[in-house]
Amino acid sequence: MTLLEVRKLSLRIGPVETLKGIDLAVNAGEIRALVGESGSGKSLTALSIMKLLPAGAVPAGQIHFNGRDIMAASEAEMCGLRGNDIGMVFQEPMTALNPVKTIGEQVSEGIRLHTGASRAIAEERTRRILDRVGLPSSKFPLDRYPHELSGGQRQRVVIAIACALKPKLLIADEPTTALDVVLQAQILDLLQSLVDEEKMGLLLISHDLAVVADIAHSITVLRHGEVMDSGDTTRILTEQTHPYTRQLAQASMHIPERTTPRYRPPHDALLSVRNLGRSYRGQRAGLFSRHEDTRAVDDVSFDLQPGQSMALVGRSGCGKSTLARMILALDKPSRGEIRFSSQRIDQLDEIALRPIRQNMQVVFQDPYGSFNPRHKAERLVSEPLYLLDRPLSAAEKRERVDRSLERVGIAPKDRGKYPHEFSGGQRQRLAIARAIITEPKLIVADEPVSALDVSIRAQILDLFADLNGRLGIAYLFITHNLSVARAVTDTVMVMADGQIVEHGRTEDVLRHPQSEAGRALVEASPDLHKALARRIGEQG
Amino acid sequence: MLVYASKRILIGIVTLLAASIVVFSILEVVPGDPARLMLGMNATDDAVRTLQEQMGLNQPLLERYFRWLGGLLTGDFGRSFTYSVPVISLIAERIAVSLPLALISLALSTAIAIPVGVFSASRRGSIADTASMGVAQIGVAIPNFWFALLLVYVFAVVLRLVPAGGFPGWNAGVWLGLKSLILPSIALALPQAAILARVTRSALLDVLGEDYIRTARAKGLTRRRVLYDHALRNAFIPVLTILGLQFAFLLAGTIIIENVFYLPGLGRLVFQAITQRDLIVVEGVVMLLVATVIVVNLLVDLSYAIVDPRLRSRS
Repeated sequence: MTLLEVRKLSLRIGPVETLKGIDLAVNAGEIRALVGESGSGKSLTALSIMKLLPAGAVPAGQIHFNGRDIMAASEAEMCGLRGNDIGMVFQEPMTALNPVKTIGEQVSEGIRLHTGASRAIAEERTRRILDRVGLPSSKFPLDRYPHELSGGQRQRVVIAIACALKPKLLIADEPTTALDVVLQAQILDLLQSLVDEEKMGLLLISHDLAVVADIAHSITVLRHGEVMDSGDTTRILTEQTHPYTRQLAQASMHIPERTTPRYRPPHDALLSVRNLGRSYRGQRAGLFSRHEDTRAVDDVSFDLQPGQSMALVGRSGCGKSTLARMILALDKPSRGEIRFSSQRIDQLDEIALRPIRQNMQVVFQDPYGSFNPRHKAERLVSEPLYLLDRPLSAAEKRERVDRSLERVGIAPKDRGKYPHEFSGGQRQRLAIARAIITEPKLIVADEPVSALDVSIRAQILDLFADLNGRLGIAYLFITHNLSVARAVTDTVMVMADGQIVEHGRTEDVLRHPQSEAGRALVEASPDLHKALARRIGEQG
Repeated sequence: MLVYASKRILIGIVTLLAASIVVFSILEVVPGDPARLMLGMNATDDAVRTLQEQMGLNQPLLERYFRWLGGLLTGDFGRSFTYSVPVISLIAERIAVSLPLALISLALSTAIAIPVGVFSASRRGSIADTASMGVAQIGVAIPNFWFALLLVYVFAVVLRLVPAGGFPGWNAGVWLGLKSLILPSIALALPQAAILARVTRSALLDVLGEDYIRTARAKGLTRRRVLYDHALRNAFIPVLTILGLQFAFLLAGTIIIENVFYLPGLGRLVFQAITQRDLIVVEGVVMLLVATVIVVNLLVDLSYAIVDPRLRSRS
């Protein structure tokens, strides 16, 4: 039975037509994936169904839910449906919960609103649903506040809110994008089991085919507000008749061509880390007592050769970023030492660090957040040039900026543009241009592609591979995404609880992980190849 | 919470001590010997020396500081040079006017500003929103003494409802006292209310753009319930900050209004003491105001923790 039927849905925001005649259907007990890149209209489709569109958005077309005409429904009727018959889960668990209300209040609020249940009955139901999503009240009492929970736990609370009243339809908008792969697999499992138990319909929105390939029954592919391709998951993925679907699938599995690392005579290591540790003081337990110190990084040692590309993988909170900050001399280690080109750098002051920083640059995850929006591209890219020994003339500066921009594939004439005039992928290219302008020997890249769409991700990975081959820059790639590690690195270190638990050639580690943490990551990683193989196997 | 509170209190005490050193030393380095000033230019050196001894001015600096500090702690603020009465009784007299005035103004401005701010935010972009924020803009722009004169003209001169100025003292009856504070507190409250309304509105609009507001709407809550149950409490932090600052201002920064209404408040006391070089009075009032500001800020800090659980559990 068709639970949700969307027909010829269009949406106009001001003069822009953001959705153009979308057709979409979800049956009871069905998982329908809605896949597309950013700006394709996935979220606006979801918000149209909820009638929670931003002010000024004008929808047209038909939406029928469980026999009711959503387009004609009044706000009061919609309040009766939302949270009761239709639940919704959002992308960013860190901000999706009200920080000043306990999780118990936030879950039971909807229950009381829709059922008129007494406080005690609502709390009982709240305990049951929190227990169901994996937050038993013995460990997670109702009076916990959101900030006392991790990102994955918060997303479970959001799912509990959405599913508390056993909705007929659940809309999950990128529910796992902000989580690491292991949590992602857990949350997807949870959603699937809720669908199976309650015969819910699930509209699962994602930008990555690989994420939904395992659990979705059917897929609708969106692009620029239009449906490109739609149908049964196995058919869509195996036949890949539509060129855009094929493009998405290939981008998701993309591995850049890399010149095999040339033979290098035994070298002095470029970066050498020995017995490195970083502790944080324990939180206060009372006026005069503290909890034990936490060891964010614990006894880490490794070498990185010139030109070597190394991945540092691990779950969120394992200490990857703390380690990176110490290597970048943004944080001082509690123990151990770091040498760069044989020189010890962990105790240097800012002035002494200048020549080091010139040879060691960084690329961050968020291409939006890492630029001053009021500076032009030229100024942004030339920023690290102050690290050079002698100041450059304006002409020399311009020349270096242009060379850097060309290397990352941006036309030098775009140097006068502001960050908002570039697309997300171009902004990440700018960040890379900024990193290579001092011709560094090492780039530390902290999740450099995880905020990007799959096709752009593929291009940026190509760029990283190309720069490694052409300029011989060594990388330390910090990521929780194994396909990124597979794409551009020679070796992998797996980190867990502040320690390096596994270290080896990328192919070996990803194929036969030896450590528990390594296995968990590999198993949880969404992999289109595997999903396809399984589906073809099932078909016979 | 206990850790948070004790930390705040400790910071308050340290600030107060630091302020006492600053106040004491500024008045020490100000040119002019208080004893000579009191006795006038024609006094003999002998007379000046005798008075210096009486006042303890010839003792070492450190000793005088601690004696002064000890006095402050026991409520002995010294004697005024010009009025020859204990400073504490001068201050007490004036506080009896200034404190009620400040409290009434604050209550008035809060009572106007928060509903207006909430109303505006909930109808963002509507004519009502634009109109009330326009009025608030005018409220910020109008100088309060001019507004005060306008109030006097309308309510005292034309309508004859309240006195135009002066303060009969609380002994003349509570109602008479309050009556003479009505116009000044309106004049003080209105610009404050205008600022507070704008802050409330913008804080609320910020909060209404948060993800958790969308989560609450997706739960099925109406717009109105989301506003009152989820948004308002989160918007309180900036509002509380401004309220704290306004109270400190209302207690001491009211000298113009006190002059317009001829009220014997703290502002006028400080002003007179400064012009008459009655330094001991200045010291006393300044320390009192510093202490008030610190206590108010402490209360604001503690109320943050009541509003926001994230501040409670971690210091």
